[in-house]
Order: sequence, then structure tokens, then C-alpha cells
Amino acid sequence: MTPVRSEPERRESIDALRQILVGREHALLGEIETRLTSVEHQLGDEEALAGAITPLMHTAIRRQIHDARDEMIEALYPIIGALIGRSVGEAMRDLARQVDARVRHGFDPRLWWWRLRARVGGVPGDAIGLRAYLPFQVTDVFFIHRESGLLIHHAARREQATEDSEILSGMLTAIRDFVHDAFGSAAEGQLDEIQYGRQHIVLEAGRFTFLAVVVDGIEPPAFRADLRELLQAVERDHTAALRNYAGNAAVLAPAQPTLESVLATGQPRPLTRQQKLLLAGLAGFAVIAVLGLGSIAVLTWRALNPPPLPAPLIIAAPTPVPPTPVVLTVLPPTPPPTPAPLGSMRSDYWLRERPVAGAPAVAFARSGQAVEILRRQGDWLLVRRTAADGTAQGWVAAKGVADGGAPKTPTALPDND
Amino acid sequence: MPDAQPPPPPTAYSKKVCILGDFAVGKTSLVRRFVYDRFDDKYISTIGVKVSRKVVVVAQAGELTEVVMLLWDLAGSEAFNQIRTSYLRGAAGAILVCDLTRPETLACLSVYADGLRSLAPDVPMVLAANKRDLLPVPGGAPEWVAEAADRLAVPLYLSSARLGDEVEALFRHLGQMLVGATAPDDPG
Repeated sequence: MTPVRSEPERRESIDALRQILVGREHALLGEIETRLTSVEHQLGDEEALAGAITPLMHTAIRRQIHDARDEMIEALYPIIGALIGRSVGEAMRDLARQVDARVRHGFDPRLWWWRLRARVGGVPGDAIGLRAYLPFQVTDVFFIHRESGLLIHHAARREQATEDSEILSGMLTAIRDFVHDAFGSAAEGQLDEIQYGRQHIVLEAGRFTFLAVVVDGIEPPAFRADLRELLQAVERDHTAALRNYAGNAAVLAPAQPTLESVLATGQPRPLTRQQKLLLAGLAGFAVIAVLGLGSIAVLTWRALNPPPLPAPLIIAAPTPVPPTPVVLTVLPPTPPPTPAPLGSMRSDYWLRERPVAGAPAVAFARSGQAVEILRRQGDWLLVRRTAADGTAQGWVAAKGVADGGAPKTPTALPDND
Repeated sequence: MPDAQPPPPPTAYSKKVCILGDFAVGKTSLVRRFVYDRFDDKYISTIGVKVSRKVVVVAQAGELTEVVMLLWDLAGSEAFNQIRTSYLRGAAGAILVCDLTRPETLACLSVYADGLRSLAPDVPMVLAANKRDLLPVPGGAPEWVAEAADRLAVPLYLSSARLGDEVEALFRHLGQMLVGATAPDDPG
């Protein structure tokens, strides 16, 4: 006979039986339910979902790139190609802006000198131009006490917390010391540059201090030499203050404008007053030089190429002696720029067309007549005489003319008779 | 009534201060407690130093003086070697740190102090006996610490970086020493 059980006892028995029969499946079901809830949670929460699939995606992408490189390049080209194109375009526009600005405002004699040296060294002109005008900007200048790493002055394009600048100066000094010690103090070299991406820090050390200049882009030629020169000048002007520097930066405030001028490096600068005056002076000198040389050239040309003699005009004149017609050359009434030397005829002579004995006579000059000596060629003189019949000029033997109106010495000149 | 003139800005001095002590004595915790920090502590283990900043204003000859302390927290696990010497150059002062629960951490402090004094003979220093909160019996300085402070000829502070005890006071005292002001009474 089966004993009668109460309801709770019966339930307990059934549960025990169920546990024996499907207990394992029940536990499995619970686990599945937990996992399903977790998956549902991940699907509903974007962050959780991303966290779950990110490792898988990384692996899948890496494997896909490895297995099908060409297909991946082809698929990504429209995106990456456009990005690269835009980046290169932006860089070129920067370069163009820089060049334009320099052309408009730039005036740097040292750049010209550097360019000349590069040309002499065989560097193509285009390469020189490109090198000089690459985009470049100084963003920060730290003037740091070399031994203690204390910041003396910080010049920056953007406002920056003083606390950061002071700590940064200390860390830069520490890094500089660390590199120096790590690579051995036997080496004379020092850390002179720290590069990070597009920017880099140029370090230039002096006797008491060093400059840490944060540069964006590629610095122009001679930038480092300029920095060295500037630092030397500052140290020279403030030697006493730097030698005994005790942390009071105010004593070095006069050096601040010089240090801040480094920020303007690479920027197009308007001409200074001195440069404008220099340019004006050079232009004036050039104009005067051109005018002077032009005048000299004109005078020389005129002296070497006298104007051709006009054609002789034959006038019938009632001259008793000789009874032949007189050929006169009528000259235009242009006064000579300077009075020609005077002489007087030693005897009666024919003035001839050319400085050659026997050349055609053009006029007659009487003994004692005053003549202007226009030119000398060998033993012949080109003279001009003025008489009642007009002015005439022609060649006569030099010995037939007494200079300065000397008293006449009648000497026969057989070849000129 | 005439307008009140704004007080003149206090004279500011920047000073390099080295934090020296053996490994795990609490140097970095001491610095971190009250300073302006920017860099991660990992730099101490990479290049051997991390620089932080602490400002105290002290009275000097009746006028306020601002002392900006650039604290060079140096790695403490290495021997006093060449690298450490270079980091000590230009230091205007130092805080020597030892662990009150480990008397052996005092041993290296005389080496550090001598090294620093060989570079700058009159450099002011303060001894911070740290981890005061871990002393089994709260009270005055243990005899061995007081003797060490006398031997080093430096003022002694029993500090706790965890609780902040005496940290501000020791920095202020050092600040006054740095600008040559009269030091407060020795708390030790």
C-alpha cells in the first residue's frame, strides 16, 4: 500500500525526479539563457557591440589585406586617393601662399647671397627657390638657463600656461643632459634637434643658456646660424646677469624683444625704413649712372663721327684775283660748342677738299687772314675762314698757318700753290 | 578718497630643487601631494627624472617673494652615478627623503648631500622622514633620524605623503631658505 503524501512532499519528489532526469539540460539551458541575455545586451548597446567585434574585425581586415592586397587597394583607392590628393593639394597651396607672400614682401640680402652660393655650387635655380620657400613657422621659443633648466623667457604664437612652459623647460634640459650622458661626455656633440611628426625642436646651446625653438615645417637655410648668432648676441649683452643668474627672470627682460623676433623668422617681413632708404639710394644711383654713361657714349660717338660736310655751293663772285670762280661752302649757322683755336694764314693758300696735296680747292684764304683751326690730321689742318664772301672751310698744310695769330712769315709752299 | 593702489607684484624667483632619496621612500608621492604636475611618473623610470612645479610665497625683508620651485624628482634605485650628477647641476636646493619604517634608507642620503654640496657648497636642504603615518607609535622623531638630521646639518620634518602631514611646511621652509629668509622654528 502506497503511503499517502502531502502536496509539498509530492512536489519535492517531482522536483527531485526532474533534477535526475533533465537536471543537466536545465543547467545548460540556464547557461544558454545567460549568454543570450549578454548577446542581446551587446546588440542593444553600440559601445558594447563595437567592443565585441573590434578584435574580430582587426583580424579579418589584416587577413584580407594579406590575402588579397590588390583587391583591397582597388577598393580603398577612391577614398585614400582622394585623401592623398587633398593633402598634397593643401601642401602645394601652402607652398604657393608662402612663395606669394615672400615675393610680395620679402627682402633678405642673406637669402640672395645663399642663393648665389648654391647656384655657384651647381644647384638648379628651381630647387633653390623651392628650398627657400617651403612652408615654415616658428611656434615657440624657450630661452632656458643651461645649468638649472630654469625658463628665463618663453615666446609663443599661442597663449600657453606658464606652469607648462616652466616644466617643459626642465624636462627639455633633463632630456638634453640625459642624451649627453648616455652617449658619453667624451663626444663633443650635443642634442641639437628633437623631431616629432611635422614639428621639431631645434636646440641651440650657448655658454650660459640654450634656445629650444619649436618649428613647424622645414626651416629655411641659415636658420640655425641665425639662431646661434642671436644667442651669442644676447649672451654677450647680458653676460653679467647670466653668469650670476639666481632665478629672477625680470633682470633679463631687456632681452625679450630680441628673443621674440625669432617668432617672425620665415614670415614675410615688410621693408624696414633703412631697407627702403637703401633701395631708394640704389635706384637713384642707378639712374645717375645710366644718364652719365649715356652722355659719355653720345659725346664719344660724336667726336669719332663728325657730321658729314654739306655739298659745296658754287657762287659766282667778282673776285679780281684770281679770276677763277670761287667755290664756297655754306655752313649752317650752328655755333660750335667750344671756340676753336685761332690761327692766321702765313701766305695766300687754297683751302682744299681733302688733306691731300692736289685735292680740289674749295676756297681761297689770303695771307694774314684769321682762321679757326677745327681739326688736325697729320700735317694738315681743317680751318674755317670768314670773309666778305662768306664762311668757308677746307684743308690746308699745317705749316701754312701760324697759331695764335702769329705775324705772318711769307713762306712759299710749292705743293699748295 | 584716493583710489587704492594695487599692491606691486611680488618678486618671483625660480629655483631648481632636487628630490633625493632611496628607492620607494615616497619621493614621488611627496611631490605629487601638493604640486602642479604635467608629466607621467613613467618618465622617472625612463630618463630618470620628472620635473614638477611648486610655488610658495614667503616673506623676505618685509616683502612677499614668490618662489617657484622646479622639483626634479630623481630615480632612486640607482647608485649615485654620472647621470645623477648631471641632473644635480644648477640645483638651488634639495629635499632629502628617507623612509621612517626603513632605517637603512638613511644611508644613501649623506652620499646625495655630499654630492650636491660638492657642486654647490651652501645649497640649502631639508630632510623629510616620510611615512610618519606608518609609525607604530605616533610621536616625535626616532632618535636615529634626529641624529642623521644633525649629522647632515639640515632641518628635519616628519612627513606623511599619504595624509599630507608636514608636506606643505617642509616646502615652505625650503622656499624661505632658498631666498635667504629666516627659517621658521625647527618643527623637529
